[in-house]
Amino acid sequence: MKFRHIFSQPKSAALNEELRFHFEQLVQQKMQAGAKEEEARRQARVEFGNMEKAIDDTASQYPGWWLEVLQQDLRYGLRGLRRNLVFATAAVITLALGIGATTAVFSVIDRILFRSLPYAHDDRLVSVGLVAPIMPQEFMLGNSYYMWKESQTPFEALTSWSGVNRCDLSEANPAHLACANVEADFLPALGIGLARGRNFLSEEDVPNAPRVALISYGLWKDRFGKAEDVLGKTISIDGEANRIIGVLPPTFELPSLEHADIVVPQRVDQPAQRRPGIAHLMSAIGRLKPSVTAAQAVSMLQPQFEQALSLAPPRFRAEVKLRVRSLRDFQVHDARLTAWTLLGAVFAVLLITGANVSGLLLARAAERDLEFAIRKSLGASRWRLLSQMLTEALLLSVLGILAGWLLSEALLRLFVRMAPQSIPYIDQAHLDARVLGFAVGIALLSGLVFGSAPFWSRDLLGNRVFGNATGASRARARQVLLVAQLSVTLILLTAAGLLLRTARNLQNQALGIRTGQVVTATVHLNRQQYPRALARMQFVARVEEKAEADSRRQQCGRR
Amino acid sequence: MGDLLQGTLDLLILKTLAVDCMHGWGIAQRIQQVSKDALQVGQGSLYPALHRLELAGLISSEWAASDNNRRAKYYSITAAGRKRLKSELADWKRTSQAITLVLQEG
Repeated sequence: MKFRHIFSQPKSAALNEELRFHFEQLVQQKMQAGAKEEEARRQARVEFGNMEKAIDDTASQYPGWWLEVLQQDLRYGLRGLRRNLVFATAAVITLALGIGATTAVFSVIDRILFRSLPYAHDDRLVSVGLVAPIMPQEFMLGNSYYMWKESQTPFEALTSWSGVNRCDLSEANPAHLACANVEADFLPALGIGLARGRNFLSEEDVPNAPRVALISYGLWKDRFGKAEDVLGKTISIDGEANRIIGVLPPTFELPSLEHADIVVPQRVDQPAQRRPGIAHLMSAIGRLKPSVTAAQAVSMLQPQFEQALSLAPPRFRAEVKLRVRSLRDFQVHDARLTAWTLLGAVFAVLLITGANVSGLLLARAAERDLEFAIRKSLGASRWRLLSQMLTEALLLSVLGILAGWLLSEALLRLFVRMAPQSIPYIDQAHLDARVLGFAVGIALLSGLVFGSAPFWSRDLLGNRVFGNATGASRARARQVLLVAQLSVTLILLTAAGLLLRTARNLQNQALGIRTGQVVTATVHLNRQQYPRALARMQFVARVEEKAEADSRRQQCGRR
Repeated sequence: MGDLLQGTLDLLILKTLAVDCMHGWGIAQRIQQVSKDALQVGQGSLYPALHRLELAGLISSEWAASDNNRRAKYYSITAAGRKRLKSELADWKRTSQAITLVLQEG
């Protein structure tokens, strides 16, 4: 085969002329044999057979013929959609709603359910600790944590951290930052590698050790312009000089998902914690040994738990429980169930969409029976008709995808803006290639399945284009679709109604305080100027005094 | 002549065109005439075969006026076509001789 033929397409017009010539010659021959022209034409038609089929068969010899078929189908499909603008608009809007809603919700949920955490072997990381009614999140106390760390068996590594506090960069160009306080082996235990520099040494994690700090990638970029010589520099945090010993990776995040610009050793006085006294409050993260589950870890930790309980005041003992759960569960709390529920809901919406569109396509197929019958009698093969139907349905799908994509972008922005803080990762939700692929897959699949529905509903149910029993079976197919659609809609509506009702009840719940005319504000007092608790108390007292004086003056003025 | 082997039709077309260039109708008539009406080539297999051969570069085509002054597509054999015809003929002779031998036996 010569190269120039690869993309060569048959010219339908030329083919038509060539075969038409053949036909006319046939007519001539019949007339020469003595037939009248009309009779000759009739005989020729019978002998010649199907013109359209002959053209199709010849055209299919060319490698590029399907391109022409596709082009033809597309042109024909577009014309058909334009002629049935109401049908097309309804189908595209339905598809857009279904795909848009599904994709947007999936984008949010994807982060909660499926995203892997930025730690090595994150499936083996667990949050370990005690829970009590007043502290529903796992916590540990210094007086037992260090003993656990020495005697525990279920973990490869057990580490701790003490939360995030506000801190001030107290030098030229000062800034409010967030500082996380961690144990020296925190980063290695979570499997976090540094972008630059080294991790803390254990001798840097004791009181009065020289101060060292790790800075976040963002801080390194914004404040130091990614300078390589940042290591060894000192930064002043809350008036204390800290030597920078490393830079965190760009993907760094704390197990609590809190933001942190600087990570410093928590500098807990271990020997003091082992003596009776005020215990340090901390959170513990464990890395399970490969074959140990979280449930097994709970039973393996029983002796340590008993010991910790013995330190608690007797009246609290009954309330304190031991809990070990995966880091993902710790992060998303009960959002997991909500996420699956939402996912189920949007899939239901998608199902309704599918039923809707295929109902529309079925109804349209009924109108087009005549058209298909004519094309079939003109010699169009069943595959030709099917490809025509599929092209049209996929055309709808593609339009639906485009509209749905735009819609989901808009919806996602809306979600992110109005979502409460408590939905994990919501600020990171975005449409990524995977989610988009998901949507495109769904749309194409529904296009294929529902687009061919008219075809198989006719063919499988034993009705040919020429059969006149089409009505009954198609009506049955439509009834089935309608019933399914209605029941799913009803379930969704009921669930949504209940949800709204609950939300409203929660909103109107009496809090036990009068919230009218009450405003709240947060004031951050930096450690340098207000180093002691007493100074901070005095500040609050002064604010209170001044506020009272102001309000008295206003009342006087009003008179 | 639906049950004529596909390769055989190609061979007949090449052989016919080796004599003179002609249009599809002419080829069909010629084959019918020469075979004394034993072989009738239907347009349903003729035109796909012609276009297939043309794509393969064995024949070429051009539009010209026919005897009764209508536009018709005339096919003629190419050098590659002649070469193919030669080898196909040799093949055909070998095969038909072999078949004859088998059929005459006993």
